[in-house]
Parts: sequence; C-alpha cells; structure tokens
Amino acid sequence: MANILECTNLVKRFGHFHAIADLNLTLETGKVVGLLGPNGSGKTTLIKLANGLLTPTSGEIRIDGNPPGIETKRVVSYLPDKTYFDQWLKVRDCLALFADFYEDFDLAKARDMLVSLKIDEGAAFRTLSKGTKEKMQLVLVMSRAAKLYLLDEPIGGVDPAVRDYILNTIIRNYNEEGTVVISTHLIYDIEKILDEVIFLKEGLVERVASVDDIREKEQKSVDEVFREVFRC
Amino acid sequence: MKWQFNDQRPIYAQLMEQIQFGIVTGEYPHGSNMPSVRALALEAEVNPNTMQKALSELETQGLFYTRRTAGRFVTEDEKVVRKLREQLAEKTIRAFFEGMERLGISKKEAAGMLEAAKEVK
Amino acid sequence: MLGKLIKYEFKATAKLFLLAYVALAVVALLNLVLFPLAVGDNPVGETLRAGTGIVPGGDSAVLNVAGVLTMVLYVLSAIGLIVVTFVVVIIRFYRNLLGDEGYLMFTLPVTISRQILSKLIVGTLWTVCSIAIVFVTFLVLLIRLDALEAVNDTLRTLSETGYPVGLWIASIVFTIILSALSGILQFYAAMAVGPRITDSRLGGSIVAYIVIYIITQVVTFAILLIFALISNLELFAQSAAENLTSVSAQAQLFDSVGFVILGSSVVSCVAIGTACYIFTHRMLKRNLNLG
Repeated sequence: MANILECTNLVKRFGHFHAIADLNLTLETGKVVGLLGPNGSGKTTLIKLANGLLTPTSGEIRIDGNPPGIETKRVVSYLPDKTYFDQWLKVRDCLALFADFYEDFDLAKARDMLVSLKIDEGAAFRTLSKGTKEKMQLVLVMSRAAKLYLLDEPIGGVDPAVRDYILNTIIRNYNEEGTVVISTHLIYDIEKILDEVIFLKEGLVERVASVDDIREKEQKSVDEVFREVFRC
Repeated sequence: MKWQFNDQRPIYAQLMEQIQFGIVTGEYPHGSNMPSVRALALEAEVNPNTMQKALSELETQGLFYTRRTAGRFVTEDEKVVRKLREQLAEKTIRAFFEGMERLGISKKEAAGMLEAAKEVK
Repeated sequence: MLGKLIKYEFKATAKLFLLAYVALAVVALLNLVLFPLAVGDNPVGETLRAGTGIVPGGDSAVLNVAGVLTMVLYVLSAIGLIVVTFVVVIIRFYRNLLGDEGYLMFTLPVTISRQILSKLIVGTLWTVCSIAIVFVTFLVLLIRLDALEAVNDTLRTLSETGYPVGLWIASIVFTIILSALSGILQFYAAMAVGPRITDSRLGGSIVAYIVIYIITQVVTFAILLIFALISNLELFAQSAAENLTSVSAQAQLFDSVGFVILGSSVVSCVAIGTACYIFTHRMLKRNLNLG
C-alpha cells in the first residue's frame, strides 16, 4: 500500500509559537482517519500544510510523493471549516467552477446529491442557510475522485441530521484509492466510521492507532480515551 | 436489521456478533446473497474496512463463501449454522447466569426460577 | 488555466462595472442636454429662451447655475468612475485571494503566477476601459459644444508640420496602460505583505502601501531626472540656436518634454511593476497566511 501522506520532522512556527513541532507521520491509502486533538493542537495547521495553504518552517511534507504544489492540489480535495465561495455565485456556478478546474470532478454525481438534498442549482450561494452551505460544499468536495480528502471540522456546528448525512456521504464515497482525513473534536459521533485515529497534542503526534486496537486494549471507546489523554 | 454498538469493544467484533445473529435468526437466509460491503457499512454506519474485516473473519469461520463475480453468500451448510446457534445460545445462558450471580442468586436457584418462569405466559 | 481564471474574473466583476458605466453615461447625457441650454447657441436653447424671454448667457442665473452644476457633476462622475473602478479592482484582489475565498483559490491546481496575472489583466482592462469611456463621453460633450472642430484643427496643423501626432497619442495610451498596471501591482504588493507587518492584514497593507508609495515616488523622480538630464543637453543646444518661435521648434521642445515625461514614465512603470509583481508572487507563495 502506498503512502498518501508523509511528514518528516515537520515544523511550522508562527513567531515563537510552534503550531507543529517536529512531526512525523505516514498515512496509507484507503483509510478513513480521524485527526483528533483539542483546539490549538495543530490540526488545522497540519491540514493547511498538506493542501499548500501554509509552507513548512522546516522539515518535509509529501502528498503521494510530491511536495505541496499544483500536482498535489490536483489530487487533494479540501473542505475548510468556513464557506469559501463568492457569495454572489449561484450553486450551478460553483459546480461549473469545480468541473472546470478539477479533472476528477464528477458533475453528475454532485448534481444527484444536490437534488436529494433539495438544493436548487439556481439559488445564489448567499441565500442558503449555514447548514445548507456546508452540505453543498461537502457535496462538491466528495464528488471528486481525489487521493486525499481533508475535511476540517465537517460536523462541528451542524444539527444531528446533517451530521448523519455528512457521515453517510463519507462512507458512501469511500474508495480504496482515497484516504479521508477528518479533523474534529466531536469524536463520539464519528468513531464508528474511522479506521485509525491520530491524537495530536501541542503540535506533536501523541499516538496513531486503529480504533479497534484502542477499544481492544483499553476496553474503552476512543472518545473516552481521548478525554483521559487530554484531561484539563 | 437494527445495528447496535457499545463503546467498550472493538466494532468489528460487535459487527461479527450481529451478523451471526442475523444468520441464525434467518435475517440472512441460508445460501442467500449478502448485500455489498459498502451497503452493509452504510446501513450500520460504520467504516467499510471494518465491515470487510468482520465479514472476512466470518468467512474464515465458514459462515460465508465468496463466488468471484457473484459476491458473498451465506453458507448452505446446516451443520455450521446449527453449531453457531448453539454457541450463541450458550453465550446468552452464560450471560444470564453471570447476571444472576451479580444479584447474589446461585446457579441452582437461578435454574429453579427459570423453570417457574417457563409456566408464566 | 489562465484563460479559465480570466473568464471567472470577468464574470465576477462585469455586472458591477457595467452598472457604473451606465451611471456615468446617464450623467453625461444629462449634461449633454442641460449645459448647452444655458450657454450654447443651438435651436433648443434658443427656443427655450425665446419662449420664456430669457436672454442667453449671464441673464439667466438659474439656467447658468444648472448648466455649471451639471458640468461639475459630470467632471466629478468621470473622475469618480475611474477612481471607483480602481478601488473595485483592488478590493476584488483583497477579497477573492486574501479573504475566505482564498481558501478556494489557493487550493485550485493553478500556479500563483496565473492567479496574480488573471486579476492583473482583468483589473487593468477595466481600469483602462473606464478611462476610455470617460474620454468618449468627453468627446461627445465636445462635439455637442462645437468645440471638436478647434481640437481637430490644432491636431491637423501639428501633423502637417511632420509632427508624429499619431505616435504621440499612441505613446500616451501606452503609458496610461502601463501606469494602470504598475499602480495596481503596487496595491497587490502592499496587500500581499500586509499580515507580515501587523496582525491585522488591513492595517499592515495600509502601512505597506505607504512605504511602497514613497519608494515609488523616489524611483520615479530619479528616473525622471535621468531622462531630463539626457535630453536636456539637446534641449539647451536647440534653444540657444533658435528662439523657439517657429512651430517646428515648438514642436521639438514639446517632443523633448514629451519624451522625458513619457519615457521616464514607461521605464518607471516597468521597473516598479516588475518589482511589485515579483514581490507579490514571493509573498503569496512563501508567506500566505489566510485568516
């Protein structure tokens, strides 16, 4: 199995603050991975380093063997925790944009999902409710046949029904050639769909383990183990 | 099938048990074609890899067989299923006795209460 | 990819600019009607004056004031249009690349060069367009005021003396385009480096722009001086020989001054524009720090 993500001695410093401090990590293809950690532990920073929005202070990060650049952006599908479309665009404009710039975008699939979500393609992005905007962005991101999906807090701040829909969409779109990385602090809800979890503490990897291993060894859910490890 | 999970045990182990139940109760009839891994995973709301692991384990135990293009099928072997039913029954009985013991009721007493309860409709 | 980006840029900005152009056209039209009424010798004005007994020119305070006001309005609108266009171009860059939308733009499989270029090309086009439209409405106004003939005559006289009027006009247009490019790039550079200076991107951008502006002015002045020195030697030789009375001598003087101003502008714009572009590119590549 190839490695889709490799971090070697990765460091990202903002002034004197080490958001990521000497991080080493490898992720294989075909996994659904949870990136877990409290606020400020470096989850978003790590994701931004992987999609090229930040450059490392030192160390290396490689996606599918390449450093972040156009090649990696072609195969990375990123869902930030904010809305990132021009508010004045219509939904179908957003679809067209993705179809134009991403070769791996499945327009028909995205359209089907929007129909089932009852999102009108002619609606202007700004007229959608917050939850609908997030669903729409998720649909676009998951309609790509990417090698690495980076979802930054996809289920925070949405109601349980939307949460279920998001988790189901992730399962439904799972494919062996893609790895999905979900960063969140709402572990309880997503534990069942994860293969592995990465605990991130103060910019370092505290542990990497499969969900089943943790449950077997500790006889507890990952959620409980997390609370223990990151007790305030 | 209503999938239920507790937090303390590995998910694949719990999936195995519930599928075994499904076979014994006839929800997955003998010789029938199982739904795809993805469909099952979606239904149970679990990771497809985990579902795959559970199904593979059960296949090793002889409960499934795979025909390359046709998919996964429940075994037609009556003996295997009967054995499974016995195992599951034993597990349920053991759990019953353990529960009663925690209440301070001996096995003998518990068995007696069981007999009496049989009469009650 | 660049073509696609440019397409999206146009689609995103077209509505706003076209609206502004229509607004200016309306104001110009208004002016076209009102101004000549008060001042000009034309059938409409005469009929109005005859009917109401108002004598042309100084005797009708109301019409005069109205005429002057609309002219002032027109001039303000014209300047306003160019300024607003420029401002919109700058804000577009800020919002689309450095705001939340940047999360989308910078994760597209497109080089940073293309991102900057697409904004720059479209932005410069709109800016130059706005200047052109102002010029066109101005010409229309001249025609209406029967002043176009005079301008035409002057130009014809000049070209008859062998003076390259066409080249001169083309040079001015070229310099305008370059100035727009360079001006826009200065703002891009300031916004790109903003967050490195202060925590607030906006505050840092303003500070950065002030610094860049100062540097620009110094460089421009220096280049102007150099050009002036180069051509001055010729100039003094000329004025010593002739008394600057003939048209050709005047034209040559004009030529030299023109050369100094336009030439130095071109060189300044290219130098500063290039420096700002490289700087912007580097900042966006190495130090992108969105939200």
